[in-house]
Amino acid sequence: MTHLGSRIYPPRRNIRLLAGLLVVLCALHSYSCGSDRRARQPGEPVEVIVWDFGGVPGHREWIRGAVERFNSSRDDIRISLETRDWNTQRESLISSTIIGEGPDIIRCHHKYSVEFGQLGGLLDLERFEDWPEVKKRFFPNVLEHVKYDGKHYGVPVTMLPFVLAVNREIMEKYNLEVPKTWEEMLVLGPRLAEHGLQAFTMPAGVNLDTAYRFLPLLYGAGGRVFNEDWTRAGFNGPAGKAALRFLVSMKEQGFMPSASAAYAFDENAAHWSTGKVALSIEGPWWQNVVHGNFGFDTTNLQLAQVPVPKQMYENNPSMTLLDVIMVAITGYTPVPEQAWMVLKALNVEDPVWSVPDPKMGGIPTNMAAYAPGVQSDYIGLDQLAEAGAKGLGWPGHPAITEIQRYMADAVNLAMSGVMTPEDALDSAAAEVNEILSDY
Amino acid sequence: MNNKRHKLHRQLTPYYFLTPALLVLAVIILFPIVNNLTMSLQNVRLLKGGGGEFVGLANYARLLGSNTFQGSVKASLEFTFISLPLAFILGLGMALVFNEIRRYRPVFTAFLLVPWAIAPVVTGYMWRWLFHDTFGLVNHFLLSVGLIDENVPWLAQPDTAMVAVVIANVWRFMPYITIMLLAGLQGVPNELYEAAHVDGAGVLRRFGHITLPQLRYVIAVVFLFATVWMVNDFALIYIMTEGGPAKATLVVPISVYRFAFEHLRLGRGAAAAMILLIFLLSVSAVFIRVLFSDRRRQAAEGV
Amino acid sequence: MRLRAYDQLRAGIGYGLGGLFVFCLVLPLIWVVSTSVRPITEMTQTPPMIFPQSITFDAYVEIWDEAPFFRYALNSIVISLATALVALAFSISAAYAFARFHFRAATTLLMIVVMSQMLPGSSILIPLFQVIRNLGLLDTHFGMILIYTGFAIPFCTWLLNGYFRAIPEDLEQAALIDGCNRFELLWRIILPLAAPAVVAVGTFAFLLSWNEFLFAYVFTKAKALTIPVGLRAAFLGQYVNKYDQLFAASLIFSLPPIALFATLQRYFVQGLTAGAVKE
Repeated sequence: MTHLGSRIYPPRRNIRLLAGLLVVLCALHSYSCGSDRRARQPGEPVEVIVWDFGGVPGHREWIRGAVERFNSSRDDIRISLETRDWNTQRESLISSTIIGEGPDIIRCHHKYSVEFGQLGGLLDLERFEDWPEVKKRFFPNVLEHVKYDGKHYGVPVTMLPFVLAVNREIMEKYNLEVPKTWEEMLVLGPRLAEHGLQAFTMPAGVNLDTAYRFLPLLYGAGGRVFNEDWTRAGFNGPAGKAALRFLVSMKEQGFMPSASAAYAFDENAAHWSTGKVALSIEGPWWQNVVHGNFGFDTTNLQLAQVPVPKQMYENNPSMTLLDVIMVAITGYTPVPEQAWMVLKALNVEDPVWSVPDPKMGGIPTNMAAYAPGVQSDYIGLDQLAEAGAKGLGWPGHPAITEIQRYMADAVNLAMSGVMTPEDALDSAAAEVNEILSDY
Repeated sequence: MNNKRHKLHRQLTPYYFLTPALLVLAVIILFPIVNNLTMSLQNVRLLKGGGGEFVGLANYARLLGSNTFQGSVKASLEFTFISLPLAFILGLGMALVFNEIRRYRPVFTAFLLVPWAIAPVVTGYMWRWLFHDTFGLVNHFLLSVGLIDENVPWLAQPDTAMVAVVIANVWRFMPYITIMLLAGLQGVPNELYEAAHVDGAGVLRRFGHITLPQLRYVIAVVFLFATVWMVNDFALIYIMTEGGPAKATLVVPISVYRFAFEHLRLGRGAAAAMILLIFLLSVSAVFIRVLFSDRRRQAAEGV
Repeated sequence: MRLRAYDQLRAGIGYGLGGLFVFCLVLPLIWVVSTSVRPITEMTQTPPMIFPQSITFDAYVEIWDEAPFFRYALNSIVISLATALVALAFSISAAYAFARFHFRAATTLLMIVVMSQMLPGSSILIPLFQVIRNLGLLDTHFGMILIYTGFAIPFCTWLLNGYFRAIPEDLEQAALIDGCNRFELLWRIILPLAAPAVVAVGTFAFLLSWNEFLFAYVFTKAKALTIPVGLRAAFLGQYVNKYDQLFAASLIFSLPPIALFATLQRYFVQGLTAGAVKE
């Protein structure tokens, strides 16, 4: 067989074709980087990039409007807004922190004040002259959530205290009292079961949502995530074990949906909205979610404090979980002053923060919003405010997300009946202890 | 002089053609494989200073000693080696049926290919809702035909969750197997059947003595490919169960993802990936034997 | 006469069973369609209903309002098309080298290529993350195209190689004598003859990047986010449960692959099996 390679020279046109393709690729690359920060021409406004993670539809609508208003009112600064997925905020922040470039302002969960603040991913707000003035507007216990090592890494804008969501229609129809203790919930179970209803539902799947529903129970029983000096896990103490035993016994007696060990937030919301279950542990977003997504009649929604055990299991004060959304300036921003101006305009001075508005997904952290005479459409705002006042966040530890993962796994393992509550929590605690010994 | 240059060019010509592809492969596949090995021997963190000190086999020791990872390997093996025979038997049955269809076959295959064409993510969302305990059609159907008395929480119990992901997986892969076997069946010479018919061989005998042996090459390829795809599957299971409940469907790929991007422990994740990689490399070694032995035989026969 | 009746019966059973199989296979998809056209309140009804009581196409309109979805769709199109083109160009060239030149490293290199086909997946996820990060290509179109091209090349090259080998060399000899160079040869003679394989390979590369989830999930966050990942981001985000929109978007997203398979199935099946089925 003759082969052809011996006859001719390499085809120049083939190489040219490949070169052409490379050019196309480069063009594509520059296109893909098109949304990056462009070099500023003199006279052009300074661009401030905002990444807005998550947010209910009402919040998104507001921020789009607010950005438009800001941009049309000034010609020295231009905000470019990017709404981003809540579930991937950590990964987004990891990549941009590693590379050291990304947005100037982010709206995210407060726990990242520690994880990324410590790494230089966020800016300490103390550097701005008027920070003390700004600080005064917010509830002090909420400000604690964005603090790490004495530095403030963000402005807390929304708080999300966890409360008990009650289906009022069910309670009234069967003449039942809203439970205040775990014991009362266990009594409620059989009475609702008679009518083919369930007492309680919560996401107990592998998702981190699970850990966020477990924590209010743990805090309520006097437990904490860590021991005093944060050297060992504390969630497997008497309070944690009692809380998980309580959940498992609710499920085993049929007072919770049998599939709750597979539920994430969305499935739980769908299930509660059907009106076949009386209670769930949720927060200020609930009225919007169940009405907006599933057409639940909000006159049937009532909020109350998360039930606690009759007798405390540990000595810490009884609390509920308080989540905080913060707005922070990144540590690598080239335009810190402008970013601070934008942050103040959008998140401190905008009138939306002085009225608790259920469409925004959470309640304001601004004290002015609770002044006498402020009207609000919030259902159970008093209950939310009370929960907010006695709320405690996730501990600000750099490895908190990993720790939440172990706790969610433990709850899921116990709720699917594979491990006892004690074993599940103890083995999670062993992993967490190892992490803590690293710091 | 000129002659020398000419010769060099001649030798280099194939490489001009190969370079772009090999370059991309080197960056995207070959280098990462090597890098994965070195990373698995180090303590690498995504944040927290990055780490990077050499720790020998510590990552492996830790993995192999952990219940979670042992469970992961078990879940992967269950998922793959329950799905595979099921999909194969159903796919073979379907191929035999389709082989009888002469007219309008493209219409049938067009529908047949749909589950394989759509993204695993979509498949995942679809089956997740079909298996939902109260709103799902699976329970509704089983209740109405009287196979179950009350709703089964498919995705909330370890055993039934595995069943659910296997069903979804079989649904997705069966079409591929059918198409491949169908093509194989078309290639079986009719004379063989006719000869067997004359000899008075029954349907089963013909199937066992002619069809299966003639298909053995296709079957090998299908098994190897399907094994690799199933072992590697991430999207379908991740969307359906996220590895739960109680880690029952936490297959190795999800485990690797969790180590790397939830726990940010790249080294440990790389060790888990290495175990997967060794498995895949041995499968592809078998694959190469099958492919290249055939090529060699063909070459020897002068085909 | 008896034989004909037997044949007819056999064919009838074939059509009946085949139809039943296909029906069962497509049945679950009816749920996707019906969910996308029903008001979301009907989705949480018990017992569930296969067919919606009231039909609404709102979801199909609303998904485009939900700002990012359009962008995700655009990303998917750009990345998949570019991957298909680049993977085609590179693997045609590589396959041609394997099929027509005899050089020392040929077998080894071909083995490496074939072997690489088995590996993409979570086993190289972590080091590839490092590579893409160090190249500064996280969350870029270019990065994703590079990754998907790498994943597509082995299969494409292998398949095209088999096809090119089957094309007789005499044709090329004649063309060479006419003064064609290698490139013209490939373009004018080989490619038209290998059209089915080229179509199959292009479709393969397109679908690979169109449907891929894991790498898009890890390597893209916003700028280059593609639909498989975007579905969750846009319709099941924080406190958002838009199932009707999720399934409407899923359907729209599934149309290109289904359309490609339906129209090109002949080529695709031919190409897919050519590498595996002994001639």
